[in-house]
Order: sequence, then C-alpha cells, then structure tokens
Amino acid sequence: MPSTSSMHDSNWQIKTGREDKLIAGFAALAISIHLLESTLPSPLPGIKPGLANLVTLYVLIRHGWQMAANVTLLRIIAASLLLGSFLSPTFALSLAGALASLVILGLAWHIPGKPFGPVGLSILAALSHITAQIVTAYWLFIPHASLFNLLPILLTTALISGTLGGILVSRIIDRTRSLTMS
Amino acid sequence: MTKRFSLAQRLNLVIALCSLLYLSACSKPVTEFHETVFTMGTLVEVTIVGEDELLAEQAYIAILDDFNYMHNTWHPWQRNALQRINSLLQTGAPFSLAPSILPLIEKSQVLSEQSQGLFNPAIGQLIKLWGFHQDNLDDVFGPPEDSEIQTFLKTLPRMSDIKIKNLSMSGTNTNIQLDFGGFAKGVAVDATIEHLQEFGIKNAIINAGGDLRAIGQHGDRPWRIGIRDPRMDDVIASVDIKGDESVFTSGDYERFFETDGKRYHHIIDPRTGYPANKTRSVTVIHSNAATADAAATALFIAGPEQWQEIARSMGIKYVMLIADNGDIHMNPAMAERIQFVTEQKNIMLSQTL
Amino acid sequence: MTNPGLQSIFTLADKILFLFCSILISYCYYFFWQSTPAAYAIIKSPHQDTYRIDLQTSQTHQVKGALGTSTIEVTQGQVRFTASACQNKLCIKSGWHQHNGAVAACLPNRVSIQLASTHSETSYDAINF
Repeated sequence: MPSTSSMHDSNWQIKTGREDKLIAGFAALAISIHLLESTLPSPLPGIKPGLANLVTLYVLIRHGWQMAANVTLLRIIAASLLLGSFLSPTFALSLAGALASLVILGLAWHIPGKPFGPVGLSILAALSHITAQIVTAYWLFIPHASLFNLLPILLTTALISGTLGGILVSRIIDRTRSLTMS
Repeated sequence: MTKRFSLAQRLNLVIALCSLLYLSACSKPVTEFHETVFTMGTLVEVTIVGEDELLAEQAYIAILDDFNYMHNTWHPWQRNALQRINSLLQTGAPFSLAPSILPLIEKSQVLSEQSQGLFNPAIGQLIKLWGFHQDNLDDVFGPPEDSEIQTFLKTLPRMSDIKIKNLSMSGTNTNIQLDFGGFAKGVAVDATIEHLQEFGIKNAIINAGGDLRAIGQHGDRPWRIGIRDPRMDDVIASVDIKGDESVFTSGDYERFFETDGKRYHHIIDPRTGYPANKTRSVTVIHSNAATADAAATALFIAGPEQWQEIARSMGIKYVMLIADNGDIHMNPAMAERIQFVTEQKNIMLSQTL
Repeated sequence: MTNPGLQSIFTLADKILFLFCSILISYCYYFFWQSTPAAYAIIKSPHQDTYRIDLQTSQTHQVKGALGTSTIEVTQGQVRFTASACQNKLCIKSGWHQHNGAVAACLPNRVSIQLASTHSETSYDAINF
C-alpha cells in the first residue's frame, strides 16, 4: 500500500526551537515597552525615549546580533500593527531609527576585541537612532531646514538616555548572568 | 486548592492595570478638514476642526447643496423666485409670500431701519443703472447719466415700501427692485454654519470670499483671522476670535470699473445715487453674519463722520473703518482686539460704542 | 563576589566615545542654532509712513529723515545704508544686515531698518478682505 502523507505528519508542523522561543519572548517584552512608550508625548511622531531599544541591546550582548535584529524588527512591525500605525509616518520613523541603530550596533559589535561595553553600545545605538529619525522626517515629511534646530537637543537627550540605558542594561546583564532558557 | 498570589504577582497585576488605564486615556490628534470651492459667485473656504473626517465630508457636501440652492434662488437677475417677486412688487398688487425669499426680506427690513436707510437692498434699479447687477463688469463703459440718477432718487424705493400682511405681500413703489447683492452672502454663511451645527460640528469657519463666520476655536487656541490691507495684497492686522463671531469687510476694491482715470465701485449711497467715496474699507466683527454683512455696507456708506451713529443704531460693537485718506478709525473695543502687523500711526479712536 | 561599582561598567572605549559625542553635540548647537534669515525690512522714519520692503528684490530706497536723506540698498536678502545725512556715518559702517530681528539705524537722521521674517509662523486660519 503506498504511503500517504497526512496532516499529522511532522513535515506539516512548524518546529519551534529554543531560539524561536527566545525571540518570541524578547519580542513580546519589547512590544509591551514600545506600546507603553507610544502613549508619551513627543516633539515629532515616532520620536521616543527608546526604552524598547534596551531589549535590543540586551539581546545583542547575550545572544548576538542576528537575534537582536530579529527581535527588533519583529517588535517594530508587530507594535505598529497593534497600534494601527503600520506603514504610517510613525512606522517609517520607527523603522528608520531601528535599522540605523542595528547597522551601527552590528558594526560596533564585530570590531575585533569588542572594545565597547553596554554603555558605549547604547550611546551608539541611541545617537544613530535619533539621527536617522530626524533625517527621515526631513526627507519624507517636513522638508524644512528649521527641523534641524531640534537636532542638538535631541542628540543631547539621546546621549544621556543612551548612557543611562547602557548602565541599566549592564546591571541587568549582571543580574541575569546565571539565567538560561530551557 | 486555591493558590495565593505572591507579592510579585500582585505587583505585576497592579502595573498591568495601571498601564491599561494609562493607555485608555490617550486622545486622538486634532483633525482638520479644509476645502475650497467656487460657489455663490466667489471662492468659499470651509474649515472644520476636531471632527471625524467622514462626518466633516458629509457636512461639507450638504452645505455645497445649500450654497447652490441659495445662489440660484437669490440671484437678482436670474429667472427665479426673486425675479417673480420683483415683478409682482412692481405691480403693487398683493401676492402670496414666497418662503424662499421671505427671510431675506424680513431681515433686510429690520436692518434697513436700524441703519437709517443706508443699507437698502430695494435700490436694484439704481444698481442696474450703474451696471453692477451683472457678474461680468466688462460691458460697463461709464457712469450713468446724472439725470437718470436724479429721476430715480425722486421716488427712492425703501424696504418699508414692502408691506407684509398675514400671508401676502405687496409693494407700494413701482421702482422697487430687490437686489440682495452682498447681503445674500451673509445670510448664506449663517444658514450653512447652522447646518454644520445640525451635524454636531462645533469648530468650523466658513469663509465666503473673505467674509467669514467662525464657531468654536482651533483645537485649544482661538481662530486667528488675518485682515488684508485695502490697497496692498498684504495682511495688515490680525484678530483672534472664538465662540461664535463673524468678520465682514466692505471695500471699494471688490467690484469696480474705471473710466477716465476715475474709479467707480459698487457700494452706492442711496442718498446721493453715487458710490460712497469717503471710505476705503470697513471691517465689522459681530455674531450674526447677515447683520455683519449689512452693517459693513451701511457703515461704509456712513463714512468717517457718521459711522459711530450708525454702528450704535445697529448694535455693532467692533468696527474698523479705513477712510479715503488712509486714516484708520475704530472704537476702543476694536482697538483692544486688533493687532497690527506693523505699527500704524494714523489711528483715530472713537467714543465707546 | 565583589561589587563591581560604576567605574568598571564603562570600558575605555566607552569613555572616549562619551567624550567625543559630547564635543560633537556641542558643536551641533553652534552650527544649527544660527539665527534665521529675514524676509523683509521695516523702514521707519519721521517724515514717511512706516513701510516694508522685500529683501529678495534688489532695490534702492531714498528715505527722508530728520536731517536729510538716507539711502538704503537691498541685494540678495541683505540690506544696508549706503549714504546718509549724518556726520559720523556709523549707520553705513554697520554694514550688511540680514538676520531676523536685526536693527540698523541712523540715529541722527532718525531712520531705522528692522528686519523681520514672514508671518508663516503665525499662520492665519482665514484671511478677511
């Protein structure tokens, strides 16, 4: 009798490995933070303290760049779908910021010797994030030179929040050093 | 066996609940609806703020219909109800009231009396003599003969020459011709604003060729209205309005023709039969648009010497009159509200109105 | 296990980065916060009505003052005094003006130029005319 494949064959099932569970878990955390942040007022749509980026940073340091990228992009898309801002200007700004900081983080993380600690990485991520957002806002939405008057202020807050965020992530890494996912 | 919630779990629950509450307090951004359309013989701008976009669009389409209807019904020289009424008034015989025109007539009678006859839509024949009755002024080659004007003045028709008794109307002057000219714009603006309010809209501006009525405010600040210079294309002053106010301006630059280097504009003084020539423009702020419209015309004709008297009898509280020599006259209440872009030296404050 | 303390959280590269960024950002303030160019000049003098001239149109104006005439020249968004009836000619020496809010004046002649920008910041909801 010829073998027939049925719906219950293992080929039909999506296997979730350990990595997938990690990504899902971190993404869920990042999405929650992103949603809460979206309620805060800001000078331009999409420009936020970037607390969700701390999740990206944590994942980068503990699980590598590839997973950090997965978590971040998943967070951006899922959060924007939940907020109803998918493909909106806010989404464009979020995505631009995330992509820029991922690229910079990728470059910094792969420097031989890994000279940057969590604080340095966080600063790099924050500054590249905000710069990409302003530039995107200028190109797509507000082609007015006076937009750049905001840049120094935003860079300053990015530097401060990047530094503090890096310290925070560093502490969390210390605390969770012993935790592993089964 | 029931499990007791640990402290951490309880804390998480509290944080989750607080977050939900916080999220639910988010408000929608203020939406703005803005459309421009050519109707009633001029450019009309409709601005609606803070409403659902679909509702604003529906309301806008509804008032477009209103404008078309009013333009056709009240046009002084098209074949319509107004034309029939004009013919019937000239016969002197009573006829039944036309509901589409009655509000215009009643409002005009009151305003005409309050303006001591300076606002007088019954002088349609005179307007026609000058040629201002038509939409296109290219065919006008010069002022009418003085003899024609004097003949007309001898039997000057007034709004009081229209008698309304029960359900019928009759005219007592064969020279009556109702031409509601600019006044129709004020009435139309009132009607359409009220129609918007029927839709539940609370914050809007309807600007019909520069004359506007605004209700509510712009988000969390008042509406800011710019007032244009009668001679230059620039904004010379601004005024903030909120609540429910109309801003109407009559100017010598709106409709005119020039012959032999002399300019003749469309605001005819019923007393002299000639365009009122002591004023460049009058700006009036008042709640009701129809009244503001009539007042702007009447005060223009009244001129720098008489405007205060007429403003008082019409109950107008904010007036700015720019005289022919450039002097700016206004009452103290208006001076307080208005902000000039550049300092004006020739401001003459009147008594309190 | 020893308590790490704040110092060991920062690597050397971190500290250098922080310093570098601080300097860079300070420079950004200077660079981006220069004043905005003006769009027109308001001319005031005792013998004429106050009027405005557009700075984008090249032009020359004779302005009557208390002592005599002052000549004002406009080119490419800038304005200056080129001649004046005063003695010390300080107004001419103050050179070209172009920034929003700048004021140039010939005090003896009582002629002043004030630079302002368009009302686009205070845009109107509607224009009445």
